Amino acid sequence: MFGLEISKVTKAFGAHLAVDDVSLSIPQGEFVCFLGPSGCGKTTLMRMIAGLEQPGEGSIALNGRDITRQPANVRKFGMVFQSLALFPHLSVGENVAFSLRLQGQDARQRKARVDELLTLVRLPGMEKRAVSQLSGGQRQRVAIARALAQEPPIFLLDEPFSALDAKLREEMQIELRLLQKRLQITTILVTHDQREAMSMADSIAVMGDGKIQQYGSPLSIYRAPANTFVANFIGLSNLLPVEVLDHETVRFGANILKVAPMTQPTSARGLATLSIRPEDIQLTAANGAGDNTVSGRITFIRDMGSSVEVHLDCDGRDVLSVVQPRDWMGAGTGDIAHLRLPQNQCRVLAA
Amino acid sequence: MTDLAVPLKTDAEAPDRDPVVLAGLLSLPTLFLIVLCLIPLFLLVQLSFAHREDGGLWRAGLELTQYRQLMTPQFLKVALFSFTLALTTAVISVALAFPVAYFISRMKRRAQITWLVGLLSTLSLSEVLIVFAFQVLLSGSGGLVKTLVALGVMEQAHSLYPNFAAVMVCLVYLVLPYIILFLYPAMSQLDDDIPAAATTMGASPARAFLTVVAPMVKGPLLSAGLLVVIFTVGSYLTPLVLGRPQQWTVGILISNGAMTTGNLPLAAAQAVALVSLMVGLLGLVRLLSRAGSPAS
Amino acid sequence: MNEGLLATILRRGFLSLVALFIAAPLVVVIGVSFNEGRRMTFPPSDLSLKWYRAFFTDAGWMKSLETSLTISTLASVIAVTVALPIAYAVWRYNSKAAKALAGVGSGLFLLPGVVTALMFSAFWGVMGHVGRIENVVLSHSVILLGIPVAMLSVGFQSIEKALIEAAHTMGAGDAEAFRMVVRPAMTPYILCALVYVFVLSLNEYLIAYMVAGFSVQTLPIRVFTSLRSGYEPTMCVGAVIFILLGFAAFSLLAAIGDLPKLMGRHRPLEA
Repeated sequence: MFGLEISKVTKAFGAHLAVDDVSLSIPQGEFVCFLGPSGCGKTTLMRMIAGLEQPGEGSIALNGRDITRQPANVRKFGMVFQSLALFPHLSVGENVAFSLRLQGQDARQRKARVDELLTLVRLPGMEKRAVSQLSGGQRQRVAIARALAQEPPIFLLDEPFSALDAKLREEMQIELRLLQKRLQITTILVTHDQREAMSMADSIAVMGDGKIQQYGSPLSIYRAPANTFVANFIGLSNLLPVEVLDHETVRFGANILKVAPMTQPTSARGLATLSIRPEDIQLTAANGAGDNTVSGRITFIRDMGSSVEVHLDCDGRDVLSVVQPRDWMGAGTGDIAHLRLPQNQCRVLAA
Repeated sequence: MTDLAVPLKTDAEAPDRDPVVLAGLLSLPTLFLIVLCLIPLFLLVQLSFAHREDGGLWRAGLELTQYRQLMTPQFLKVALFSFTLALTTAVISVALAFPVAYFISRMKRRAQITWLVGLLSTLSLSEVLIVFAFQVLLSGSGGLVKTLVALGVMEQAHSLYPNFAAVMVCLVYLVLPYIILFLYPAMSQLDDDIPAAATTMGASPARAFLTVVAPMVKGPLLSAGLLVVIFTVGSYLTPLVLGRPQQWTVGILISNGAMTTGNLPLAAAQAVALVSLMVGLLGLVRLLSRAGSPAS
Repeated sequence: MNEGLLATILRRGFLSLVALFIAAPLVVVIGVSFNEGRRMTFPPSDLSLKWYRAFFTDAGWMKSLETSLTISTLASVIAVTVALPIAYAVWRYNSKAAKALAGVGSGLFLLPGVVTALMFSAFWGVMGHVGRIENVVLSHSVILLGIPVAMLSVGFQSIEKALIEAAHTMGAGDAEAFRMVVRPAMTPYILCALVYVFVLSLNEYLIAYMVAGFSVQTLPIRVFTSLRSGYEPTMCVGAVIFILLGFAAFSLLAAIGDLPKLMGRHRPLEA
């Protein structure tokens, strides 16, 4: 098959399992983000893909060929490092031409390719500059051009934008995504920033505790988190302890709620967690009770202008509801409100 | 997860090759140090137990004759003087070097480099040349005496050496660049915001310096002092040329044994004793500073 | 404001006094070297380059200068050659054996000169290899080994490890990464270590004197022997040459390397 196939890869550092039995397949031309908190193993996984780290167990294959034992300098996957790792003793052009020099290209070929790449990353004519003379965003672009110079089969980026300020980061994200679409290159980006992952990736692998917690399109992960870890890490979720009654009914405190039908047979009639996004909860005044409703007391209101965040105490649990200003009923702290939980937005996850 | 690989070497690159490469790298340096450091050190110790024969000769043995000779009040007095001299030099030179290093580390880059070049140039100058320069400077016809006479401080031109003060000043001169350069990294690492924070809480600059900066640099200052002691306890040429016989040190005794009287075993025993005393002092200071500092 | 001004004046005054103290002996020696007569008076009574002419036409002094330069050049090359694999093994492989070797090197540097001199004179005596120039070269290179080890370690540590990994991902093997990334980054540090060892070896007299002093006359040995026997005006010229050589060497070092960093400063410094 075409693409990158990671199967059952495990990596331990001493007693610590950094990557724990990870399998993943990335089709040719896709943009994948490894997303997770620090220490979740995402960088280790990327370093194993690059060949900078050797898996303890498992295998990695590219286009059907096993490359597990291939060293980094044979794989030649272009990589942008978190620190960028630009060579301080070389100029911009010499940095970009580094892999070309290793390939034995002559000066003219190198110059043509460097010009082409610098134009691609919108730094034309900068090849004579010293790296130290560049701004943060420019360095970023040089690092990208340098990694692309060898026309790598896979393009890897390890938290490349973490040092940039918010505005520049957004610009670079858009630029990178456009570049990737144009070159149709299989790309993996490691990040802890869910916004970055959501806005760029075709697919996201959410990682936690050395495992892939969920792999799928950004929207499917957001809409249907597979477990509490993902629900918590991607966006905000209300997580409520419930008791499962049947495949689409649960009990929360004294309330019986209908939920989206459970696909996997959850431990029948056991304890589980109900996850619902704050923006999916519909708030109504105290007397408008209906189906799938719980009541709560308003503890705190934060009017952000574009939305209103309402914290409620439901059966001793803090529940957050985000409502549009035009739907906001205008209650005050201490009032009782009713929360309607639409059946299809209520997902039951293993406790 | 960002900076995982602390040692550069990761196991990605054939771990079984490492020991071979390492052995190849280190074989020459190991051989070099065994032949030129460990064997000579062993010989020195062996020499101190050897049997002395006439005409500067000796024969391997296991005698304590030399060490018994060290137990005489004569040698002990010289040893005591050597350490007193070294400690005095240490106190004076550290007191002088500390503010200098502090001020240099706060200068502009160009000024810093100028100072560093100047210090390195004097640091590298042979003790021979510095002692000679002091001989000229302190002599009756040198510039200093003339200036003092002209200022009326001195009534009649006469040489300012040999005496204890001349030895002292020259030793301070010798170690000063070392100590300034030794303190320089610690001083440049000092965060200026910390004394500034003390100032915002009402401390005067001098008080901030004494109560905040000084405790922070206590460790480096102590190490610097120790370094001076190590450097000067074996001093030889300075006390020989600028001092009187009362100011003789163990260093002079050792060199006399080696070069003049030809009693190599005794000189070796004196050298072993000197180094042992130094190591003992080092251990003592370490022990004391560990006991004195909370949980470190 | 007034207080700040006073502090500035005090600081400047103090630093000037220290600078004067450091410069005074050197200035006096340089001044005396221009004396017309045989006496060492300062300021010089009559300016003359007589003793310079004498120095540079004296075969003995010239031979000593040549011997000194030969010894220092060889000692610095040997010391740096031995130090390089040690510092590299510490950095690259975190090797305990290499750390031990580095420790031995720096410990040796801390021993008093008289002790090491005695140690080496005994060593070469037992070897039956007395009075040779290579004794001085080897003794110097091992005594000064701690310096290049420390300086090269600073250099290696300044190479970000991601740089090597980046080179690997671009197709460079170990040897190429060393040649294209490590070596260019290390060049200034190697040069600085060479210069530093050269200057210290150039000025060392006691070991040189005790292992080969009767047959090998380096410049400091000549100054040392005349210091013990009596004043000779050409000595001043020799001293001046050493002062200038040292100053030139360290100015060169400041030009090729980042001197504040080499001396242990980690924070960046404004120009």
